Amino acid sequence: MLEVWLGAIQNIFNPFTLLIIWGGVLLGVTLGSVPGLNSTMGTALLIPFTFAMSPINGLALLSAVYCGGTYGGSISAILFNVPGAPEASATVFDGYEMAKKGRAAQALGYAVICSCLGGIFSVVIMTLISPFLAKIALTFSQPEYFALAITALTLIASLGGKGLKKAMIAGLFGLLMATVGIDPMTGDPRFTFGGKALIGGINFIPAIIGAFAVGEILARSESRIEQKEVFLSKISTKLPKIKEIIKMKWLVLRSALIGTWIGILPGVGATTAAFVGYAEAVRWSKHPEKFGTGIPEGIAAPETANNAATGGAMVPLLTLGIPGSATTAVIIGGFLVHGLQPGPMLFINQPKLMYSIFLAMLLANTLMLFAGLGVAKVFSNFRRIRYSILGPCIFIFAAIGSYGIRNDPTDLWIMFFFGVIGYFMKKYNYPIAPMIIGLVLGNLTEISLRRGMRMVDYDLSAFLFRPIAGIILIIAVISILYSIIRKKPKVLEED
Amino acid sequence: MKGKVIFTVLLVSLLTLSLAGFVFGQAPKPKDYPTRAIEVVVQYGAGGGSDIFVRSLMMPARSVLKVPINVTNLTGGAGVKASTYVLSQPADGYTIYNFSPEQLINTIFGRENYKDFAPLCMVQQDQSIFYVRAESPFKTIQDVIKYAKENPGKLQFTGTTAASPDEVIIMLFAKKAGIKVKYIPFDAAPETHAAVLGGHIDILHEEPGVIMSLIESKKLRPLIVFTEKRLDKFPDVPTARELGYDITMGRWRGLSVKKGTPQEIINYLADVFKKCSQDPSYKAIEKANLLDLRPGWKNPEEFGKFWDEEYMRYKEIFEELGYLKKK
Amino acid sequence: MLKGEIIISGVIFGGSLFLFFEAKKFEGHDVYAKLGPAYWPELLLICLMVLSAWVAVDAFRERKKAESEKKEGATFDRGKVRLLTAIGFIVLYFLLIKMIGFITLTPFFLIAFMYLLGERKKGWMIGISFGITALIVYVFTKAMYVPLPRGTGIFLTFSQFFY
Repeated sequence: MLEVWLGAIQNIFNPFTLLIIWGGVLLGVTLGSVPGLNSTMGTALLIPFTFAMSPINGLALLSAVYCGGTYGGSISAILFNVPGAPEASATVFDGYEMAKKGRAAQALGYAVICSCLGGIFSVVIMTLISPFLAKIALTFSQPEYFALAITALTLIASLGGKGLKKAMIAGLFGLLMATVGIDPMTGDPRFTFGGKALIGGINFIPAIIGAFAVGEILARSESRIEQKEVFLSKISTKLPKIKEIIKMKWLVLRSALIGTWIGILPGVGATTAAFVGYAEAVRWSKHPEKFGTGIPEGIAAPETANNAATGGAMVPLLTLGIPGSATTAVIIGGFLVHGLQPGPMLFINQPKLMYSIFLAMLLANTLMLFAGLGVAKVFSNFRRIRYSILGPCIFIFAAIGSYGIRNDPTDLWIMFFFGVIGYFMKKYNYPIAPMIIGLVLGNLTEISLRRGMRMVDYDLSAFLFRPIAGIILIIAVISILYSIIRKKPKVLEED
Repeated sequence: MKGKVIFTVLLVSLLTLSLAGFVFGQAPKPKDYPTRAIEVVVQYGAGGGSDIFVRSLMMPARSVLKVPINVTNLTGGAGVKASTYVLSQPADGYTIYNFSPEQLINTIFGRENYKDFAPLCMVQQDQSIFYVRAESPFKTIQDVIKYAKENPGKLQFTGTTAASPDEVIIMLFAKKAGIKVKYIPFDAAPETHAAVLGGHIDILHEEPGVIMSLIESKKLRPLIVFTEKRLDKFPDVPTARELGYDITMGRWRGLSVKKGTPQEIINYLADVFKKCSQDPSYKAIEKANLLDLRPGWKNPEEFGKFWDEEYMRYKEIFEELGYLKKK
Repeated sequence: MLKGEIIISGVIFGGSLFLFFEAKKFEGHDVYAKLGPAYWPELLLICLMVLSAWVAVDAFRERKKAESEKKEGATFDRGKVRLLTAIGFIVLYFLLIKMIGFITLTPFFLIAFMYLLGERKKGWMIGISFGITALIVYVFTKAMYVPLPRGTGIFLTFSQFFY
């Protein structure tokens, strides 16, 4: 074991490899922060070039891009209300609100520190008990996925406060929108009205960008007064203090655990992890009504969880050859160009390579902290730009961000549609977050239910009475009842 | 805006550094075609089997065609989105499409028409194999059939997406073996592997390349192959033909362009890609994915005929499965 | 506000009802007898209809209470005009981008939008608009191979000059 580690250290700690990891982190953060570009695309484009490198350098580069990209998405989520990468979708809820108060640097600081903590946590876990975790992950079947999704959906009830009915309407609408397109279970088109435009379904990225960024741009063009407020409000470039992070230790630990575990599960990845992390933070919080108003916990929870999912997603990839996320699926290509096949054999035959990858990810997550804190200082000044200039630029980035996900013009219209919906929702006090949660988790909820029921021949008791799924569901039900019974001091509303 | 600019400059310089000499700066060929960048459209996500196929074939193609070749992924709607995009571009050979069996299936379901495309070439044909996990009580495919006959409709098979070539081959096998089985589709291949490894589903349909490591570590056991003769890699695994079920299918991968593209461009491109498919860099990836076990090359004419044959075959199966009857 | 509240609920209810009948048309196969494609959407739509009716009733009750207190006037103020113009700009931009292409249309769209939001400094408007467009075109098409819309006819030729 010690020998393997020494070999790994030798592999990684040479100037060229370190430079590659540093470059990979910077590239990842950049790609993540630009809406429309993300680390999945970045790794896909880099694979041909890793052909010329040694396997260790190539894979170190890809993992560094992956780690950096997962954090990078939060930068534009916080600054512009546009998630730069899908993983950062949940960061929009509180990140942008915090930046609006002139505390962008702090918001970015929380994001990078928690990303780093989450990332390191998951890599350590991965190093210690990878094969064991992968084995447990395999015991998760459709009922467990369903229970997981339902638990996160109950967040809608805790988010609703007094406007519970409206929150539920918003959540149901999101779930409904997730059904548009080809039904994954039967291949039938749904709600496409005979056309081809909607056959690919409604991607949640254009919808989030529309509801948040475009909705805000529309509201601002109506009022036009607020721009002065941004000018006047003090822009602080102060970073969060260590004390403030320590205060959130349990939340960070919980999110890291959730993130790592969801990352390990095949079929769900960092995005789901971020939402579940956020949901649990709300559930366990003493002041759930403050979520969505720009509080540190609302940034820390999803950011810890989504970066923890990066390490988690590598677990099934390295031990079983099963990628836990879209980007790790691409990273398989990085193994293949060197004639390597990730999986159990590689773990046995090339332990040094495996531990070098662990080490590279550990390093990437640490370097990310330095890159991120620098970025936070510089980028927080963006809020100084007046809205009449910034607004249209945000719109263009929103449009590119929506279009770039699938290169599909339909996504522009989806963004616009959700922009108008977002505008009305704000106006009539329908919270937006439940709609997004519904949209992101809709497919997982529906399909795990229908697929799972088909597997047990539509026997509901066989579907529900499973130890893990049952326990998760019971917790979900109790938490719904609790949040309905509990009186809330304030109504939580978006914006 | 300064921060963003600095960052972008960084990004651009990083990328150009690595791209230089590969994509930029080469003079176009002194021919009418190609004079500008060619776009290759892939209807599946980055990193999947088809994406890796296209990207690895395009690596040598760039140096032969001497223009940039951009691979773009337009996912969604079983490829309908990507098909629509390709058909919206002019038929000038600058947009190449990764043509897959899904286009034929979509035609059967009336979502698009494969006749809108002109065949370019088929490059590879994969092998379909059924697997069980190591702990499974099924030792041979006969065990599976015996169990299925005793418990009709209980045995679960999995593959990727509904109404896919995976489902076709599974159902065709079930029909020929005279058994009733359940097909449980997943959205992405890795989920099917996990479901079978976890023991939630009995039998996996998959091409061997992506799960080689699981096979070698004996976590998955192949039971039957759907090829003309036994594979050297698995000499003990019988073919379906030996057992009396004449099924030789497997996912194929090839390229097409929009119909109406000049024939000389089609022939030229087919020629170029034939050369590329012999290139060592492509061969290496093909070998790593076990795609060299079965001859797959087809020229434009052969590929076109193959489309028609496959279309009829799929249509027949879907009709028999009751997929084309409305409730 | 309450009047709008009721209208919104009505729209949600009506829309759900329409989609419910749409869902009834989904094809089902013998192979997937139970929990077919229509099952889940129908369930959601029923819940939506119930909840929206409930919200409307609530709003109606409150409205009766509040009726005497304040009157709602549908004022067609400058804010609304600006909002509608902004929506118009966006729709126009998305409609035209296929024809005119990203590189030609975007700078003008940006300038128009900035003007709408009250920006008057010409140097800033022109500089930023063209700068951002150039940046996006460079990064997206050259470095990352994202195919931005090129437009048709003369615009296509112009776009192909750059990407």
